[in-house]
Amino acid sequence: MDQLQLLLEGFAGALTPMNLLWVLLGCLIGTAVGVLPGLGSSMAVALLLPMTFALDPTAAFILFAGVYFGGLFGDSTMGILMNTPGQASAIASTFEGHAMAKAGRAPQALAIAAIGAFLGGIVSAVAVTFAAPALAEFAANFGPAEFFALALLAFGAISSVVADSVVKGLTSLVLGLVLATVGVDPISGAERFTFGSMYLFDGVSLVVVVVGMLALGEVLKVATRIHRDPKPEQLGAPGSRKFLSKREFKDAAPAWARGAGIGLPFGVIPVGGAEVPTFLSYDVERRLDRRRRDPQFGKGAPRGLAGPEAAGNATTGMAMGALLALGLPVSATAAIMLAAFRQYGIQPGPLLFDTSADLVWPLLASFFIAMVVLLLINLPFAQLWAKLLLIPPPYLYAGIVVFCGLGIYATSPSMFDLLFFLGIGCLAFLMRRYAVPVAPLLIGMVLGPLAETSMRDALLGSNGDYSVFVAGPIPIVLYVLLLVVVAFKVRQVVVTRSRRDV
Amino acid sequence: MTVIVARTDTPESEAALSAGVAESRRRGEDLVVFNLDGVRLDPDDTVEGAPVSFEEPDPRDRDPVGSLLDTATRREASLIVIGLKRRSPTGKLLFGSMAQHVLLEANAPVLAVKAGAKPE
Repeated sequence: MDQLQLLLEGFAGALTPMNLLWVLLGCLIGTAVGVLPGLGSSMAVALLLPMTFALDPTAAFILFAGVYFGGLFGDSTMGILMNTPGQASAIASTFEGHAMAKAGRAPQALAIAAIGAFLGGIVSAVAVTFAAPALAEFAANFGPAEFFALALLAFGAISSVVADSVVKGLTSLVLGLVLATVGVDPISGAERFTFGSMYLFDGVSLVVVVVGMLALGEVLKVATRIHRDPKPEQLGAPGSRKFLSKREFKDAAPAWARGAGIGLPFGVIPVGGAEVPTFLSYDVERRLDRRRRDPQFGKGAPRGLAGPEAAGNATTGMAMGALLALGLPVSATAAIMLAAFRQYGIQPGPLLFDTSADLVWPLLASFFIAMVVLLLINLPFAQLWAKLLLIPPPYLYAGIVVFCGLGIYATSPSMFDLLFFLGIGCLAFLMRRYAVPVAPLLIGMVLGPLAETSMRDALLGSNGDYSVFVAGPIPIVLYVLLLVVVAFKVRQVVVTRSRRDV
Repeated sequence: MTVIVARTDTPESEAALSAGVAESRRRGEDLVVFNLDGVRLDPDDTVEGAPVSFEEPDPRDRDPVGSLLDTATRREASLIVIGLKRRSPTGKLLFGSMAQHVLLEANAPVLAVKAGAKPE
């Protein structure tokens, strides 16, 4: 029980008054941003990315963890009350959650969502505590060939699963890889794609791209739609009962458990985060519901909300484990966290548990604390959060743009970066406008250098013999997984076409 | 109580629509047309002289059939009418079948109609 000992030490590190304050602040900010319509948890993390560099690493990551999970809670609050999920991972819980709110059961829906998210998060935090060190130990055997295969798996999986069109996913991925190659080549020292400009010498700053893609692009999109989309209608009519009855709790309990079970494994599969598992869990609950004597789906089924919520947070928590132990980001938000780690000169991966144990364990402990804090601030006050909608949108979005610009300027005080940021924002807007997913771009940019250097290291080590890539069992397993993902996608495309026979 | 018709742009679905109209008249119940592809195909509020209301799956839902069945629960459908196309057992095994999904999972009785089998 080494882990328990270490985790307790982590709690000792995380429970200092300052760190507690950061958790609380992170949870508040995350929930607030998640609640605002159109803004999701990944945007919250992106906004804070430049701001946290003033903090010491432990405080910064504790803050991030709070924001990350807080955003998820906020996303689903808005999905339930107003049918506007902040992020793709909250869509599946919106269907039945909003139906419940419409039926006058909004407090119950919010409670089921909050408890589900809490349970999913706790389960994943426990899983990470016990599995991540083992995963890291296993990954310590990874050489360049293995990392190359892992990066390829991530590229293939994320670009085929995230978008409905593989072409769009690959386009986004390639854009990310292109951005990653700009600058000085780390192995040969040659300049690449700098066009002779000294500003591009160091490459494109990941912070600029992340904030531009996730924050500015989103704001531009909201701004263009502000008078076109119908104003979301709030259904806050407080029901007669505030809390869950025992029967409702018992009804939702199996769905919470199933959701968490479905969500956990997706934390280590790079398919773009919690969207896939939440829909999977929703589908499972829906099918099970049809076999019951009194089917609820369509009228506001608590199970249809409980499952996806638990699944979403279980995936998110486990994704942090994968990030810490393997250095593998499975979603856009995890890519931002990876960027933050790099900014501090810390490389997440197998060695992290040895070299930065004083950072990792307080971070894991702060997951548990964040979950409890989030449950406390969301369970009784979820309706209050909806009051944030009273902020007039023009002020809100202008404020966000200023905040982004300030953050960028604070990390690198140069005009060039600000202009580049604006350009990335426009690109992000176009991508959103034409439904090109953003996650592959970020994953490509984060993992591109890893893929490139591992490939070249492997080839250097083998004197240019390409068979090194399929020499060990681990790369072969990873390539087989990649094939499975691609085959799955192909089947899905064929099925949606030929299934139509009604 | 309502009669709900799954609507697509196939000849089978046209036949299902006619059967649905006839059935709703016979039962004296409202007719709901569910546009499975998310596109409303009938411009008027009446189909073959009968008043109807329209439903579409939520565009964010990946499973329109599931959405159809949820709508049937919500509108308390007494009958679901679908068109049916002949397909090979292997095809259904490999690629699944929307019609089969409806038939197996619906809680209301399902009326399956083939193209050209319109009662004249």
